[in-house]
Amino acid sequence: MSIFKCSLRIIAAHRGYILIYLFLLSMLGLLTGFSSGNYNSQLLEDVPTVAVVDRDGSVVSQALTDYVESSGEPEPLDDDKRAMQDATAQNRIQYILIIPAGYGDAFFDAARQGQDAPVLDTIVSYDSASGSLMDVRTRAWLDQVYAHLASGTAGPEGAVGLADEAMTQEAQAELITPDGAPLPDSLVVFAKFSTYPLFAFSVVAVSTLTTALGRRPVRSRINAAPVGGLPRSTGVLCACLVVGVVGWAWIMALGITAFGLEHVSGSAPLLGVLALALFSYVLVASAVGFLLGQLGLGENASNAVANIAGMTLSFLSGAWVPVDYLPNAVITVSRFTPCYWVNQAINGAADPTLTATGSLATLVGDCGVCALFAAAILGVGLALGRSRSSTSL
Amino acid sequence: MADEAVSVEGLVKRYGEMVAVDNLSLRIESGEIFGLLGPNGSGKTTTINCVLQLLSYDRGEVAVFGRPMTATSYELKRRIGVVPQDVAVFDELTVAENIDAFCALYVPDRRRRRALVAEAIDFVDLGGFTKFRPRKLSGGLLRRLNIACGIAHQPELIILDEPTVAVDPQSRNAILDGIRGLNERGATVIYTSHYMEEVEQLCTRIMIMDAGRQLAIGTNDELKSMIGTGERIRVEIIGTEPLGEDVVEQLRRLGHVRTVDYEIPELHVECTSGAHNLSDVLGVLSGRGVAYGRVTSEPPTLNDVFLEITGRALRDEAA
Repeated sequence: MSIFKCSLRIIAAHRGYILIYLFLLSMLGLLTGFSSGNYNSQLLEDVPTVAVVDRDGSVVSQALTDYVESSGEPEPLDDDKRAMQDATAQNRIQYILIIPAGYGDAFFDAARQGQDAPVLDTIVSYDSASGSLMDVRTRAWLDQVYAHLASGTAGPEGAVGLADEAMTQEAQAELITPDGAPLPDSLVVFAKFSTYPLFAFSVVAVSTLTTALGRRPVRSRINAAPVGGLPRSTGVLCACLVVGVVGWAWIMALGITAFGLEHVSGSAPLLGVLALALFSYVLVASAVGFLLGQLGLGENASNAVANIAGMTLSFLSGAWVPVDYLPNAVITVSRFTPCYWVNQAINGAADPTLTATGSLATLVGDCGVCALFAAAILGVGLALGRSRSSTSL
Repeated sequence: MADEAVSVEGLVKRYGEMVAVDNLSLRIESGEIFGLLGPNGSGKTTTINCVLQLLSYDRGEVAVFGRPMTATSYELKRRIGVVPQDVAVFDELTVAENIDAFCALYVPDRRRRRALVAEAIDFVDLGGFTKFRPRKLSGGLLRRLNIACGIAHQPELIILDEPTVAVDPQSRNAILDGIRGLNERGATVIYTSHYMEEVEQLCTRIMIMDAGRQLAIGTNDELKSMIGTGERIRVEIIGTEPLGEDVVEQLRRLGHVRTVDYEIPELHVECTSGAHNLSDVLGVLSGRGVAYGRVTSEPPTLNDVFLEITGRALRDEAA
């Protein structure tokens, strides 16, 4: 008990770290959460404004013009360079298709001879994806026509007719209803950001404590006292756990109060997964802090490691940038870091298509992988501490 | 046996090929201030760490208060206070918090501890610094805090390992007075140092160590009586002519004179114990018409004891 209380006093003496790493950085996390807002999960199809400049007039080009104008909202556009530049610069038309003269014949010949189809000129809007999506649909329509012409079973009229018919077909879709309401994006963003302050705070606090207790003269004095190894270690470990729990509780309380109060009852299991994910990461951070303390790194070095490692792990895990944007080699590396599994669990908890409670087990498994990292690092720290205590007197 | 505070029998501690403590045996009676004197690296701290079971040892037996001492002898450890050579306090805690934190390892009862901490603060005279962090304290005050952390639980056996290293003379005197006070309150004290003057002033019995071995043990007087030197006389020769070799030879022939050295302008005469050494020496000088100025006569020191036993000066080793 005495070691436990003494440990808490030592940590409390470093109030500056609590203020900077836990309070100020979590406030930054709040701002990040607020700025992310809530995205509407309903899918709304955006109809693009379109214009087709047909310089060909063939069967294929006319049918293509009809298809594009029926799919989008047609806008008048003169066939001159200045008008096209104005429409693009003013973002008046999101998709402009220019069919060059002779396109229909060239397209027919290419299909029949199995060559590449001639190129169309397109201009898409720079501020929305709807122009690009329209371009994808246009190419899909042309691929249909090309396929029918290439098969030799139909002429241009027949081919465009079959293509039009194929494009009217719809895929079967089913609306999946999740078990509970998904977690709000702002809470998810806040939780992901919080991996960094939680890591930095826990590492610095725990390493400062273990460094203070591990100084050779202090350790000798404690070893000379009538306190057994087990109560001593238990006291220190409990103090480390208190550090982690305080940081975790603060982040959770802040996040739920600011972003998820109305989800406490509706999304309790998902909220539980998020809490478990962050807690498992706190265990990792505390274990890293313990290891640094055993290595005897000074306060400055511990701060450096806490910040650099904290930011690197958060980045690699996809907490700040979606992991899909990272190169494959980096993703492979990130799988060997604990924060990756934390983010997998958080992403899973935030997934609106999460349907069955059985899927929660997978997310809990992700948290378990993270906790295994903590156990491994703690094991290394304990071994190091044992080796130091037996050799350094 | 019941009055024995510490008993060490045939202690051997090796670090690889190096023997740090070589077959050391000693007995310390309750109520003693026992000094372990030796140069740096002589094995004093290693011996203390073995007694406290902070270090394992290769051979030997250690008993404290008549009972075998082991790493888990918590009841015995409860009766021991340790003041390590290096200041062992938490930089994060204040003076009062530090004393309380270490006292809590021995005294779980908070109310009793509060009184003990207050007493320890008074004892080391740190009343004006209770809210100070260690970094704000001077070297002397820091040493006093180090002592307070070791004695707050009022142990029966106090082990002080070089507590006055790098301390100014004023603080050193305060620390030595404090140790005498602890002894007067009934505590047995083991005091290690390489400062012979301190050990001479403070300790009732002294053990001189070198290279892990016990060289001599006894009271101050007993140790000095072990060596041939009984008195050291210094005479400042004044006048224009240096002292002649015939005068030096005449001094060498005096009874009780062991050695005579003359280095202008000082004459050094080392004598065995005798009642008239000084008057005999001065008589020879006066008889030969030698003019002399300042004359000093000193009894032997522990440094002389160490010098005579090992052939080296303790002071030089310590420095």
